Amino acid sequence: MASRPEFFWLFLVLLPIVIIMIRRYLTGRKNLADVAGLWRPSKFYDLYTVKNFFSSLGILAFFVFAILSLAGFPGREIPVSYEPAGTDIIFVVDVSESMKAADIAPSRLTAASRVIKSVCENTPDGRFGIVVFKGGGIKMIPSTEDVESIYNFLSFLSTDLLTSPGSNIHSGVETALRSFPKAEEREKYIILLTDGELHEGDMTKIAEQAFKADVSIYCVGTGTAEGARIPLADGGYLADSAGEIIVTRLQEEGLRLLAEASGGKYYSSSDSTLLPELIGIAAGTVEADDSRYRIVVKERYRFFLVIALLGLFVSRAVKVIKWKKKF
Amino acid sequence: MDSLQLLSRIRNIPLVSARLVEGFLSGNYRSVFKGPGLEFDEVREYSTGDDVRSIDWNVTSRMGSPYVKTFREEREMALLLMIDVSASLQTGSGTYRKADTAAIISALLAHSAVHNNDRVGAVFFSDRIEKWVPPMKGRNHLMRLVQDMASIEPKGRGSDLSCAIACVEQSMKRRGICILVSDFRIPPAYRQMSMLARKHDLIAVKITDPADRKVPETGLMEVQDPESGMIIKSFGFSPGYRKDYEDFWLADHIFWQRECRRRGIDSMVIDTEDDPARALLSFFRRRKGK
Amino acid sequence: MLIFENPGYLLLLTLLIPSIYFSHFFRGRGGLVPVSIGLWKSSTFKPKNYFLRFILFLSSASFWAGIICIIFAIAGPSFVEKEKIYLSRGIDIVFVLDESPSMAALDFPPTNRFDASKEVIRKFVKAREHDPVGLVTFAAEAALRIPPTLDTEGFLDELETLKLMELGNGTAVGLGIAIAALHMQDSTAEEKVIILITDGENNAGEIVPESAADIAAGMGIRIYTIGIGTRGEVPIEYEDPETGKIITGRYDSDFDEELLMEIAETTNGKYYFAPSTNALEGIMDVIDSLESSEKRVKIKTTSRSGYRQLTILAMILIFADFFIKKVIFREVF
Repeated sequence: MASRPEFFWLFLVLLPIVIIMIRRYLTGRKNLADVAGLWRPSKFYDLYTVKNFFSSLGILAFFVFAILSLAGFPGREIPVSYEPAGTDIIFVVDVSESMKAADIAPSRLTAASRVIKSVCENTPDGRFGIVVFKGGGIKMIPSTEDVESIYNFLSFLSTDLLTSPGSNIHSGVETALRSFPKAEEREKYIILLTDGELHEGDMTKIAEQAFKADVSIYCVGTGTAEGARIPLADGGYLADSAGEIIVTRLQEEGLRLLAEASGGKYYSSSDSTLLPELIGIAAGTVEADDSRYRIVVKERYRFFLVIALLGLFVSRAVKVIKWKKKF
Repeated sequence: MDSLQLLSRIRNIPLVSARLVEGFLSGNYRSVFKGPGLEFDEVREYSTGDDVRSIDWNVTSRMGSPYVKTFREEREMALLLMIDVSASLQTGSGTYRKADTAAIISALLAHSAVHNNDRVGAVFFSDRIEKWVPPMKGRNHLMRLVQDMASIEPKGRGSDLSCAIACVEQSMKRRGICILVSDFRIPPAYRQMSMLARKHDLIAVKITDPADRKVPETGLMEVQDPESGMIIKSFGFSPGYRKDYEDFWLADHIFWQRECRRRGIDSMVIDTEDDPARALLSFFRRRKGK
Repeated sequence: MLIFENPGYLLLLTLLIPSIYFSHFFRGRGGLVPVSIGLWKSSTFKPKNYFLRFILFLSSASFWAGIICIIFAIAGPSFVEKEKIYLSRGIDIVFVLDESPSMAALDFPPTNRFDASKEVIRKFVKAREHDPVGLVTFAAEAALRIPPTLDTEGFLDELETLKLMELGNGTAVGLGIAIAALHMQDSTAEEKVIILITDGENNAGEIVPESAADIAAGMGIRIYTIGIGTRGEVPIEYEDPETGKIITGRYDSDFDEELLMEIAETTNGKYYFAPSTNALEGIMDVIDSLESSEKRVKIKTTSRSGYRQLTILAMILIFADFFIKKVIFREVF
């Protein structure tokens, strides 16, 4: 219900606060008696108890309602006009060695290339760009309507494009996020094609970054869970330093997390729904090009903050106003 | 302790006082308090054996034969209680506030005086004269006085001793006993006090509170002076603060004692923790021994 | 830019003055313990614990600062960012740049023709923030360097890496135009423009410039042709990309002005002659003004609420006050 429920953890802070308040009340009453004397009618000390109680209550109310306001509750829905002028898709292609594996015939990379091609072919008026990554992400084709250049590029897409070793999805997505042209209102997608191996960098962070930039990441896992060996040019297979042949497997969890956190979806390259859905997503927005509204939900926090402030003022007022001309 | 409680406590004093008076004071009251001495009575004709120094030469020359003045010892004395009722006495860290102790000690003294058939009066003062009770005799008067001690509600908050002294000087023409009961949280008025001490037998009774000598260890609190309304932060948890505070009052007390001694004012210190009757007894004993 | 959604709530700040007065200065306030601390109208005890009092002052200041933060948070602070959004489609512009060795002629001080062209292209592109620009270079062959894109940064990076003679020795004007046209066929732009910069005669490539121009004209592409360079003998200096040797010499410069005129005419464009850097810049300015399209722009404001940061700050400040007073100073009340 709350938009940032993680702030509810702050309620744990209330526990030490209450403990401190109770301890202070107990010692306070004793201290007061030491100084103000026992000759005073007990009413004086009752006043202290009552005032202390309400004052503490005010402070507690402040913390409780401030935490509630931090958690934030959905309030008014405000329609904001939104007219996307088209679709921007940046393909982020893994060109690490493991993409050579042939668990998807003829190879993972070819399968990725096919996905790109069919999405491009079936999205008229779309705009596309390509980023490839290995150790780092490199922009190969900037966002353009010229699909010819995309096809052109796909024809020489290979794992030899980059020399830096590794498979840094983070850097690839980051480069893609920077590649979207500014000053335009378009539906923005990243289609990430990778086997998900060896991901470096923090997925949730980059997903959050994409979410903030209004970019949905759709991940296509190329490969199988069974995995495959990585063929080399000489007919052998890639081996590690110990001489054992490496088997690379599709690792979905990170990709699924990345996709869902950014508002996209994860597909395996073997999903039959993969292409129709991707094309639908890419083209769907273009078909309905009439002006539309996007609902922006305003968070309700003011109410809570006002009560929190009131709590503070009550706590002060209870302390400052002299009761019965005594305390 | 509210005034009702206090009153009941003071009402019980006759018992205590009776014991005091019978056991100690009855024969000693006179010796404790210096009376004015001899009082002029009459002139009569000289007879042999009379002291030649007592011859009244004025009358002798007028009458042609020697006349002498006769004196009698004054039997009646006026005891005047000067009772501080300023707001600073409405404090105290123990079971009694300073005002309670002041009232009890005043009541004890009043009882003793009445028991000795002396006149007793009182002036209650804060920063003004709150009440003036002329010295009179009798148990009824005593009861009224005691009632006043317990129930007086001062209008002023501060304490101005010099105005009280001025009032006493005006209304007490003849020599009497003045007992000043106060916490001496007053502007210094030692000059006026020594003037008063020349005319009357002045005894200063200072009421103290244990918290002034040993500050209780407490947390932070805001403390307000009931007289001036000054507010300070009390860092009762800090040893430095406690020492400063204790030193402040110690210095003040030492100054007070020195001034009293220097000006020949007999002084007595009584703490709110002390038993007033016992304290009074030991004071009398000490005074008698002088 | 920071704004407040409901600045009216800031009036709550005025409550601070009475609150602070009653909490710290008013002598008739509550919560005070009556203790006689001085002689009336004479000396009064004053605590000397300056350090403790200073900490206490900071603590109270922290409390009131917390209240100020909360009031600011109530007023709804938002960081508003205004963003220009183009609603209209820009013009597709593809530069077709000659990179034959003759472009190394040093008659465009301080540099050669090629670098001078790159420089004007850079300036031109920077000024056109909403027109997709592409780049085709040609010599003996022609190649697409960058497809028409709004990614100005990417374009400029690519432009920077261009070198002479990577595509051999020759001047395939026709091929250059044809490739540029090919890569504009998917464009949704209403107006498409090719800006051809060359200094030579068409002497290579399978496609003759005239037919390439016809194709372009058929696709509705206008071609502006710029003949660059002075006529006559000019010094030349370039680095052979294969051997890395610096080749210097003299070169008898001439170019086929008629061909360029014809191309421009066929495609409804214009031909310009640029014998100097200044002239080249002037021509680019002219093309820039000729090819100005109507721009429809809207301002998109995105606001990010800042109340959370302020509320957290307020909680920290008020907790600090609570902690200092109640735990360190063991405040009684």
